[in-house]
Amino acid sequence: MSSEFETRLERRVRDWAESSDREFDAHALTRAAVDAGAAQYGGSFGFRRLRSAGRPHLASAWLLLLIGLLLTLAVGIFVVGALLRDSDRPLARNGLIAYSVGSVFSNPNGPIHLMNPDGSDDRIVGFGTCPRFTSDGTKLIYRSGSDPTEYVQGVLTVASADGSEARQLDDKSTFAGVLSPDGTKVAELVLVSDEQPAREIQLRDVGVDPPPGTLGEVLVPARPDGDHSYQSLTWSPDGRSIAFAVMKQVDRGDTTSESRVEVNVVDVASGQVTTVSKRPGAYSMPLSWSPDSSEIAYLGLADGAAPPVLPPTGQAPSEIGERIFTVGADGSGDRQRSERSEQYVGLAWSPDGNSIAFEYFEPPQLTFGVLEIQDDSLRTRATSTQVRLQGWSPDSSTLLLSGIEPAAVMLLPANLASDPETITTSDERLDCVSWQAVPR
Amino acid sequence: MAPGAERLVVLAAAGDEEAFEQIVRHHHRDLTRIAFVVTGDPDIADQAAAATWVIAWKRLRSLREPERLKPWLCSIAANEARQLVRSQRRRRVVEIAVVNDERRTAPDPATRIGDVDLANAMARLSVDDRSLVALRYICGLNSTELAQVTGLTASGVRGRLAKILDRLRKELGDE
Repeated sequence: MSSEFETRLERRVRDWAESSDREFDAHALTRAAVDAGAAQYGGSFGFRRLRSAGRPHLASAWLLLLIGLLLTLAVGIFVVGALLRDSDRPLARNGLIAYSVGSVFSNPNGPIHLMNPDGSDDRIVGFGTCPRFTSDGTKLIYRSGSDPTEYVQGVLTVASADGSEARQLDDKSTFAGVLSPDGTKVAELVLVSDEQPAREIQLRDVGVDPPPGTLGEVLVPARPDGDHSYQSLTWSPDGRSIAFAVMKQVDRGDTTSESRVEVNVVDVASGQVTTVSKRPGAYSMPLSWSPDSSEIAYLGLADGAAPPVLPPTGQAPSEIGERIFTVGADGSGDRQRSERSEQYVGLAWSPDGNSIAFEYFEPPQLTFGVLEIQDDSLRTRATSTQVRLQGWSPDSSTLLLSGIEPAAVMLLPANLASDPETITTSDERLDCVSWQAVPR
Repeated sequence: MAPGAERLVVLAAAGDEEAFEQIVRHHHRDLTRIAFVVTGDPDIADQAAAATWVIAWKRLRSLREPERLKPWLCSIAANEARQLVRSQRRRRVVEIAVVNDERRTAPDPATRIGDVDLANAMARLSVDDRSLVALRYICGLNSTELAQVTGLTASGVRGRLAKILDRLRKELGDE
């Protein structure tokens, strides 16, 4: 009886709420939110207005000015010399760069472009989104479909690296699936039921029909407690393992909860799962494998730090800075790599294994950095526009970036000694930029 | 939440305005409906939903589990609506609901009468109870998720909802 009334009530409440619907302008709402955020953070940009500290004696001021000029000159000569030496390293120009025009969310059937790394010979080779080269550099793979924000299936196209001989291999592909480095398998997170947020990891061969009602075979089942989430599926470069994060919020008995994070590795052939880190962390989205598939870079809190405590949903938790760590794929050799505590959002291990590129959020934009594995030294460079890290050149000399505003493909020397070089621009957004590993 | 949409959250959290706009486009309608159920006033509901996006833009990165975006946004909207109601108790909710009839789209007089009855019944609930109703029936949160939002236990939420249902059944004459 009560459930019947509840069903009727739910319908009435929904109808009543829908009767208040009005047209809205999503762009204007976004601008208002961004502008409000910029106003909050505005103090950290541009010139700071310094308070006057009184009027110094004129002679002392001139003397200080002279000393300052001499010191500036000496430092300038040293810095320019160092920069000239560093900038001797040219930007990489080998292989091809692929990109799609239009956001993956707003236009999943935009043109797929190929060009040389100096921006020359830019041409359209197909239509879809998120082009990617296979790890051996011989094939180009992209998806197309209708609505990537929904759980829909689309078409997976595999072509030669120059875009020719395109074949539609698969019409079961979803936009959330993660392709293996050789493009033969897809791993995907799939909801177990609508009632629980828990998901399982499914795996299937590209071009092979999955079992009815599924997207593939279950590789990692959902955990029995159901109250966790798997995230950040990341294939190892050798295609034998997948790293993923496990997030869980544990009720602390009051209105708060504790954030628990694990980094796990699953062996694709056997399905065996190894927990390689239980280090407390706040934001485990980016994982990156070393090129020899032996280690994983991830984010976490320093040794001895307690798990973050989260306030009730809807209340804003304070920002928690994290550090960069690396750990062996078998869980051995966990090591803190960065002393800097930042809001990291992206990690990319270089193809030569010597460096890890990272990006971190300094509202309202990102700053880039490179961490040297040999001595854990760091260098960073802020950009004046909205830019995202997309990856490395095959020779590890250059970072591949995509500009959001203005839309552009950019190259940045890995020594960060100069500003990014724009190699192409577009009136529409450019998404999913990929650099071809030159076939050996 | 669709798995593909998680990338939107990550991009938006990293300052990608276009990704954020897609999130706004997808969720704004539900947020205004939640705020309307809490406030009974479409104007205040609009304010609450807009304020939700300001908070979301600043704090999206603190959302630890991107697949829980919707409950997170819903609870922010409900909180904002509650705060606006508390700070703007200038008119009774039932009065506001009737005054703004011209914005409504219900063509059927019986439906309009039903809406007014429901608005009156809702107006007699506390703002916290209206918030619970909105999060349950508009956002679709289950008792575990409601417990995380309200700070109650899951069984406490179920008990509270049962009392609200009982009261609304009597108010609406649906015995």
